[in-house]
Amino acid sequence: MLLVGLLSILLTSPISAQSPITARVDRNTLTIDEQVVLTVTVTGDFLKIPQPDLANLGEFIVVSSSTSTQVSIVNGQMTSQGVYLYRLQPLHEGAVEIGSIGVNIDGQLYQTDPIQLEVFAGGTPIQPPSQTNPDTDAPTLSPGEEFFVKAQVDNPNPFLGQQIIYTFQIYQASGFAFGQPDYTPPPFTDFWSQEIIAPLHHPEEINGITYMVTEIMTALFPANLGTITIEPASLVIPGSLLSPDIRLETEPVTVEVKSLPEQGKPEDFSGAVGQYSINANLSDSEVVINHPLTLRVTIEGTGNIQTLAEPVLPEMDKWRMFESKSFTDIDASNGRMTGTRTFERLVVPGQAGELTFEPISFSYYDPDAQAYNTISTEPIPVTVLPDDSQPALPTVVDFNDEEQTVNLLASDIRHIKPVPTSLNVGTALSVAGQVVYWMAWIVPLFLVAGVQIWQHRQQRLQKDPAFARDQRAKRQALTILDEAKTAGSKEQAAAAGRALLGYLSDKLNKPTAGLTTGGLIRLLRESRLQTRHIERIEALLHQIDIGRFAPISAGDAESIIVETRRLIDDLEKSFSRQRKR
Amino acid sequence: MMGLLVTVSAVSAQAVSPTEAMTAGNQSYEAGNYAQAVEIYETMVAAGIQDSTLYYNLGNAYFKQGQLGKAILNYRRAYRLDPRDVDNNVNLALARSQALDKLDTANDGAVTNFVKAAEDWLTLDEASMLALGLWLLLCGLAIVAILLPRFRQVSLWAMAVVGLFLIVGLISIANRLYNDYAYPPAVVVAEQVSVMSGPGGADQYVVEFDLHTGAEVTQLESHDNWRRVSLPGHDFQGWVSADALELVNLN
Repeated sequence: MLLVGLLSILLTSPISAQSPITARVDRNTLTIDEQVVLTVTVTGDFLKIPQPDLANLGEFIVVSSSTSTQVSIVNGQMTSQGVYLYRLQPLHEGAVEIGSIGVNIDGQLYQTDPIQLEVFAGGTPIQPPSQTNPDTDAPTLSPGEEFFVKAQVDNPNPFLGQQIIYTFQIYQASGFAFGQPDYTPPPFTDFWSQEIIAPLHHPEEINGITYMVTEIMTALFPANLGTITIEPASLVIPGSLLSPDIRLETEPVTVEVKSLPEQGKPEDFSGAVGQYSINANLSDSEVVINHPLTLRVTIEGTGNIQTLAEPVLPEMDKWRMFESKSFTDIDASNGRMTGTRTFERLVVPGQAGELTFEPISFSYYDPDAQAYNTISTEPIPVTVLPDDSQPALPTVVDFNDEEQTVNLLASDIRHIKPVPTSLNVGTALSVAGQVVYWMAWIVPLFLVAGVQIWQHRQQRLQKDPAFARDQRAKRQALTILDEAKTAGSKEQAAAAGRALLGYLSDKLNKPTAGLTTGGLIRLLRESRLQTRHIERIEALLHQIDIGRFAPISAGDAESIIVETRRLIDDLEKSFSRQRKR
Repeated sequence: MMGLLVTVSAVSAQAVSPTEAMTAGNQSYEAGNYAQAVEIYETMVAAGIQDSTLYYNLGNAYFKQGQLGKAILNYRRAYRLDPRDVDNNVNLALARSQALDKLDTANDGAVTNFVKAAEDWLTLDEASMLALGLWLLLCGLAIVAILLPRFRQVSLWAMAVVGLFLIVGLISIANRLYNDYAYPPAVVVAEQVSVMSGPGGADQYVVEFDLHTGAEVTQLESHDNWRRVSLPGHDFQGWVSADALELVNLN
């Protein structure tokens, strides 16, 4: 029941434009033993729904509470609603008040009005003021006459789907009080049922005895044809220490359900029985093409409101329809189930101009008039404007040379493309996923680094003579040796001497002129050249001197050239290692 | 040339080339048989053909069938392959205008907008090649600055400009690669789907809001048959059934 109530609240509570918070109770009179359900609804467009403040609750305690929230976005518009249910227990009898309930939204305080309630003594039924005093007027009752129950329907011969009211009556003799009874309704198989929540109370006199009659009514809508028996309903009155519980049962109630006539049944009849009216409206009378409007179709009347099917919309090729949602608002206060069922649907015009939303029909069977009835809405005119965000419309020149704007009658997608000459087959790896691509990023980096190093070297060669001599020493020495290949033995020995001395003077950055063998050896030692190399230099210079000044064979001259070349190679490595150290 | 098994009529199935299959699809479309056109185009997609024209035509066929979500999905796939196709952009805009959920994107800063503009104009491959070109240009300018002292000043200024574009381009590429991997875009293809507060049905979680066909979302994570999505430009996020949406990226 709580769930049904909650759903009903969620479906039917409209968004209040005045106050974002509302509060209501399920009853205004109760006994001290009973509880009242307080429903607080907070509505707005916030993401986090604020909590209501119950600081001014008054003489009640909160027995239990539950919360339900709902956020929806339609057409970019967000709506959120929080429904807070509190089960309250009164703390004392008499007139009590539930104080204002507040909620703080964006720093502003919104409050509900206080709610007045009447709390009676425990075990005392709600009685009208004319209740007879049990101490003075209590008549003598036979056993079973203090309490009894009855059940009846207001129409035992309804049509299929026609509303009938099943009434369960509790008769309680004046002066005989009992605690909270437990009512068990019949199963109501073969019916669609809806309990009419608020119980009714009225006095009734039977055989001189005044009874307080409590009526619990249920709206029934037959779902099957033929004879249907409603099983007995029961009521258990709790006993006390000295008396057991009292169980009361009604007699079964029989209903004979008639079928609806076939004659005159409209094609769009969907099973609605009762009395209804229909109206429809659009959220705006003017809209830009391809922008949505909300179509709201409302059916109001008496009957099984909750099961009403949506009317079939007329086919209109200038409109696109989207799925609908429905809301139901039921009122059973007058002892019958009445209300409204609203169907909302987004509709999008696909053509600019003055359009008309055609009438919507709805058929139902009226059991009072015993005839089918088809009702329709009025046509709804709509002005559909062209979309200004579209590209500027072309202009044409008429015979009078007056410019006219071409009116866009409808917008559609552009046509399909012809088959291309080649289709991309397969899922090719993107270039960013290929090794070659990233190699192409790295190679230029090395190129720039190489150019930078080369440029630096060139600059040093220009600015640093010692470095320049060091770098060219070997090359010049080898050139001298190469040039001496075809020369005579003495010339080869002399060339070897020039090459070696030139090489060493370049490496040591010393002038060749005036450099004696002894001076050279001293400089080499100072340069920390390895001793074995120095010894080889000394020996080779000695050989060269012999070759220059004494007869020498071609083979010896050749060996001097070869040894000079080897020694320069070895010295180059040694100097290189020395430089690195 | 690969072969496709395309059911062109109810009675015959034959292996045809991709171009023949697409010709058959276009003929079905021209004849107003959009369902058959969709079937043929989808067969081609399933065979691994990734072509902007194919996705464009498929989007059109879905649009004509009233399947807005599928239409937007395929227009977006075509857009990824050819973002400068005016026809596709016009159809995508028209399809988006008919979607029920208007999800506006937030107005970002200038750099972000520049990155987005680059993404709207170039495919990922084109952006990658452009970035490589800028890198080669930057290296060339560096060599000029090293070798030709006369042009060093000019080269350094040019390097600064090229380097700035290169950095923005690389950020854009990295952003696209990361988003494609971590937060792939998706489109709601179901008529209506409830976005739940957790990966489960209404018996476990609360329906936070509803989305309709064609709504474009970002997929954040997966959990069994549920996908966590967020809405562009909004703080809203939640879980939807996996069969209610499809990813734009097929890779």
